Amino acid sequence: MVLRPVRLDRLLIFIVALVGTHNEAFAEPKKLDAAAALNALEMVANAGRSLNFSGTFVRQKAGAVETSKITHFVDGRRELEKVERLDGVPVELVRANDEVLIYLPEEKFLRSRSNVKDRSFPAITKEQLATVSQFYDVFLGNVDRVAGRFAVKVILEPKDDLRFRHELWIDQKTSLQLKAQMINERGEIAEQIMFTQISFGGDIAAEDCISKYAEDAMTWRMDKRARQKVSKASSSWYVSAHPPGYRKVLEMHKQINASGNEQTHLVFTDGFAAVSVFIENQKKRGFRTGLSKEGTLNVYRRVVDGDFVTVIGDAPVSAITLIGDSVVSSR
Amino acid sequence: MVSKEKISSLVDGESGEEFDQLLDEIHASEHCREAWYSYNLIGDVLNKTGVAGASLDRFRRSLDAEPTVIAPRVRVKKRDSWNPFVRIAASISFVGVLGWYVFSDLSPLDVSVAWKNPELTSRQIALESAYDEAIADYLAAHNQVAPRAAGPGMIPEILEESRGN
Repeated sequence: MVLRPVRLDRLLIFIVALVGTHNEAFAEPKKLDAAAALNALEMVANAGRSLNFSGTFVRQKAGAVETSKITHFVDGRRELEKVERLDGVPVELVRANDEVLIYLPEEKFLRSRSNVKDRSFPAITKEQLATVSQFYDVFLGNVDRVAGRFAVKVILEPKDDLRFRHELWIDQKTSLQLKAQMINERGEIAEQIMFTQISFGGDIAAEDCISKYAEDAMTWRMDKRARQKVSKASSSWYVSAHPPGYRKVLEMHKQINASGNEQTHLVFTDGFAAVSVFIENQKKRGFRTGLSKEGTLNVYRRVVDGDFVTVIGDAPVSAITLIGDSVVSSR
Repeated sequence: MVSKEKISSLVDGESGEEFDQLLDEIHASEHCREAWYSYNLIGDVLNKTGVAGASLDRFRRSLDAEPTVIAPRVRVKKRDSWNPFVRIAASISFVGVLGWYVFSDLSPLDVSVAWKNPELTSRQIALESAYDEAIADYLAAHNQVAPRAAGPGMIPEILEESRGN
């Protein structure tokens, strides 16, 4: 795969827009027309794939904070990336173009994936771009500072009530996404991910993207088939009508215990939000139908054909109830 | 103390200008009051002329003219809002809440009623633990599959594998 650097002319247009905001603060965020918004976000997506950078980022969600380090290297011929989790259970992810290796040192286990084409933060996935272009209005806000750098705020305002608002902070000089927030209908930050330190170019080399477990992992167990085992599991459960823009990305089945308790886990996403649907055939204590919230998440529970359905989502109540009310069994 | 003669002359309507003063003195003494009533009673029975009656009428009018003394009295103020309908409604609500509490599965939010009963409190704790058990696994699993769950470059499918499923 050959990667092309960010086109200078397009970058300049975007930067001119951003620099303009630096000198002249907006009283109100400025709405971009659809073409300009998509153009700007495509540049952000491209910057995440074509720049050499190394930094530390923090992710906050559901009261938990995780810190990781990322090293991203591109030389026109290949794209390499390493993500190391710095707290909690050690995990390292190394990507070489579309091949991914996940190192789990505590388990001495190595997982692999092929054909992984999309990139999330700090890049923007194609699915996210599609969702934004269809379901969001894009506004340009004022300049802020993130990780010691000037960044312009971009606001993604949903056109419907089926998704949350997003705010992105885009580096003025490079167009890389430095910070992202997802804000729920109660105005709470449902999720935040941001660089606390980042450096570009310089002495970043391909060797920096090699895992420190690379040698040890030669003796580890390796599983290339986990994905297949998960995806080929068939389910008698499906969602007949999910919100526009959402698609099912995951389906898993688990045997919970020897007494025959089974769990099905379906995941739907529009590229930004995730909605999980759990279905169990045995009631857990404390199961109560209806709506509730857990931190910034919305929860919706109901009984379908005697089974117990729990929908948990980083999505508005209207989206999770729509999904929850559409859960049907084909048994 | 007013002498019985004076009381007698008063009953007979002979006291003249001293009437008001005598009345006050009679009123102040239990012994004089008894004498006063006795004389009046005797006069009413013996004479039937109304002389004594005239004096009694004058006495009554005098009493009526006296200002009513309202002495401040400390007492517990009753809540007017606790009319029978409110009481019935409150009883029904309480029974409803109690029944719902006992017979349904509850979340911690639902059982946040401030019970002081230790038995109920322990039951509440047990319910909260059960609720945590029910939802905690789901939350953990869900948080792992959020699009940005593993940070830059990650997608749910990859992360799910990293969880060892």
